[in-house]
Amino acid sequence: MSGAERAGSGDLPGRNGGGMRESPIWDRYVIEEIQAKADLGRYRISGFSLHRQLPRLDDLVFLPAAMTRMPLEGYRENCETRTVLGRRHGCVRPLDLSIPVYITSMSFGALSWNAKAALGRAASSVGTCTCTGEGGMLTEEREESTLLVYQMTPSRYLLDLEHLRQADAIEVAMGQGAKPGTGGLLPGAKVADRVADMRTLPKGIDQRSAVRHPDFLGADDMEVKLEELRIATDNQVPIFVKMPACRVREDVMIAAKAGADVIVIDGMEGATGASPELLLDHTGIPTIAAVSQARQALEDMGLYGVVNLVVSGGIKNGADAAKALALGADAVAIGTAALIALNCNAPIYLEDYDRLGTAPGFCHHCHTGMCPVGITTQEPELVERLEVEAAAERVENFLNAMVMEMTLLAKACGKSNVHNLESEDLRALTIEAAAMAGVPLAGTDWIPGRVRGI
Amino acid sequence: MPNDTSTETQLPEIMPDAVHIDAEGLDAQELNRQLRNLSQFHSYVVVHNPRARHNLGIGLESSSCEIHFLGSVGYYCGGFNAGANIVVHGNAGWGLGEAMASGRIVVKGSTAWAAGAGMRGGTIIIEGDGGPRTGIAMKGGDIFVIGSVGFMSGFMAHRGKLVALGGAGDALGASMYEGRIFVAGPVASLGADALERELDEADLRELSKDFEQLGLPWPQEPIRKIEAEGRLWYFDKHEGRIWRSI
Ligand SMILES: Cc1cc2nc3c(=O)[nH]c(=O)nc-3n(C[C@H](O)[C@H](O)[C@H](O)COP(=O)(O)O)c2cc1C
Ligand code: SF4
Repeated sequence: MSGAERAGSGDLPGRNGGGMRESPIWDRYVIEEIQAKADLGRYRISGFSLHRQLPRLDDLVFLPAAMTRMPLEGYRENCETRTVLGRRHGCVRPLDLSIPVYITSMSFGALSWNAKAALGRAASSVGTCTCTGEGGMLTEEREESTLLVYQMTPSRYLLDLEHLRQADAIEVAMGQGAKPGTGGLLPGAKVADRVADMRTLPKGIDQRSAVRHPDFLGADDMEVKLEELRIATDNQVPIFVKMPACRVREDVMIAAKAGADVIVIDGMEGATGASPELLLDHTGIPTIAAVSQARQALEDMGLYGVVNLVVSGGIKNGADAAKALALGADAVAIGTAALIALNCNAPIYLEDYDRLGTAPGFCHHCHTGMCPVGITTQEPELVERLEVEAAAERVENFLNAMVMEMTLLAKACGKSNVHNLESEDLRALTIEAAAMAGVPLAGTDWIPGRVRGI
Repeated sequence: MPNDTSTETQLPEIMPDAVHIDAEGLDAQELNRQLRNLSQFHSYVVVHNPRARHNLGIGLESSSCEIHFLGSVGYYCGGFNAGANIVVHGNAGWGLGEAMASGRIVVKGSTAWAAGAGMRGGTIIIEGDGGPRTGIAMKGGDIFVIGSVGFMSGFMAHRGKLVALGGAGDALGASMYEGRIFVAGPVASLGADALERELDEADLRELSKDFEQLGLPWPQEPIRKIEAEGRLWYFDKHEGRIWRSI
């Protein structure tokens, strides 16, 4: 065979798979994305969560009791889960939760009214709270949620004394992990009559909410603002400050100094109803890194245990939640997991997933307003698919399962209270996780980035 | 511009039966509790020595009582107002009347940033100048400014009416929804998507009624009406150039 023949045959498609080798730089997703943008003329918007691998809580493992500690009887002995948030300023009604898990802020508008009602009913039945999110306080949600956190976002939708005083806690939103540095996003398909009315918006517009609060900017202003909220509510309820995990140490210190009772840190895994896709994948830091930084910041201020810490972003099960507690959180907030328990990505109404160009297991189309299972839509016929009672029961079951998983792990580690889990109970499986979480790499006493004895 | 000492001597005569409280020595929470209480049972409450302190008159509900602050107030005076009538005999700091739903706030002096931020109803009257971002994110109600308003006033206003009789700074009415701005006097620049429209008959009638009620003469300079053009309302590729640059 001549040299020329050999070169030519090597170029033939299909030969030893050579014709089908994908470039790691220009893989099929990159190509599809560029062509989509070439059509759209703008960045892509998407719901759900990010599309990349990250160091995460899964990279940590517990060291249950063996010889040095005594485990508790997993199936017989009690393990306390009660969680009280927001005692710092002596408010009359700190948020007293039966479990250290609650339903995070997801706006009415992003979610349907049935989804809101079902989440509220489920949370109430297990003694925990839900949060309004940015779209104002929905009547159904207030009725269903025994404990409801009212979110104050820069847009201030439906914010006035009447609503403020109906809240069981106020959450001042400084951003979220899915899209740090930008405001909320609600595509026009979801700005239906009731949503438009609650947000005082023209119906059907693509709403891009404000990112900066209208009446405070820096840390000193925020201190005055939090005092105002405390006065307006007559110090009845605690004040949360929610932020995306970015410059965690500094941000936590500022919020704590400004007077937050509870700080909520939302890692980059945190999901969304709609976000520019590039913000999902390229901004913020992972939850595993954020928890220990936040805890350290509070410890350095002498405020750990005084200011409560809540962590969210990618919490999937009791193991994630227990690890977050061990790393220093007082509670976790869940969004996506609760939506999945509601029915998100469930294999039903397949033709409607198909119409969106997706399938159960892959759907991230909350931004379209055409959610096949009635969760992230304002279309009445789709919303009806989410039957409140049955959906609430699924979320209730899931929350109970999560807490059972947490107590199982805690008891195995010899703890009679989930809040007694500590980072000493953890080891990391990867160097990245060890460095980020500040726990030793399994089989060593090495924490990358920490110099021993200092 | 009024200050604490000059206004003490100008105490309006209409309040012979007023209750007087001294802000000095009371913490903000206690002072507001007293205001909330007293405003339920009295027609006039006079607060001495506000000394530009923050968070005065927060979350008041009474509609029949008039609360007078004799001097300047700090941030968020009248915040979350739900029906009270407040008069500030001085200047006001940031966020005057923010998140107010109803009631009326009169400022004899000028206001700093973001007066009426996010307000849903009620009326704010500023006899001096309004600072930057006056009426930012407002969702209803009226703001009347006898002087000028600072930059980015009316920014992202959803609904409601901002009237400024002494001109406006840069980026007036940027990125609004259905808010309306009426301005007389020089305007440094209009903001993104702000569009000047002709005043129609209904506008003229409405403003005449407002001015009459406020006891104001019709301004010498022509009034311009600023509204949103709506080019930022839809995330459309055809608007790509606008979205890219702002
Ligand atoms: C449908 C949806 C709507 C959301 N709306 C809000 C919101 O209004 N305000 C907010 O602060 N965060 C919002 N978030 C973010 C969540 O509060 C939370 O930070 C995030 O979902 C946590 O991550 P997880 O979903 O992995 O549990 C929303 C998330 C989802 C999925
Ligand atoms: S099923 Fe609904 S909630 Fe779940 S990702 Fe798809 S559109 Fe969003």
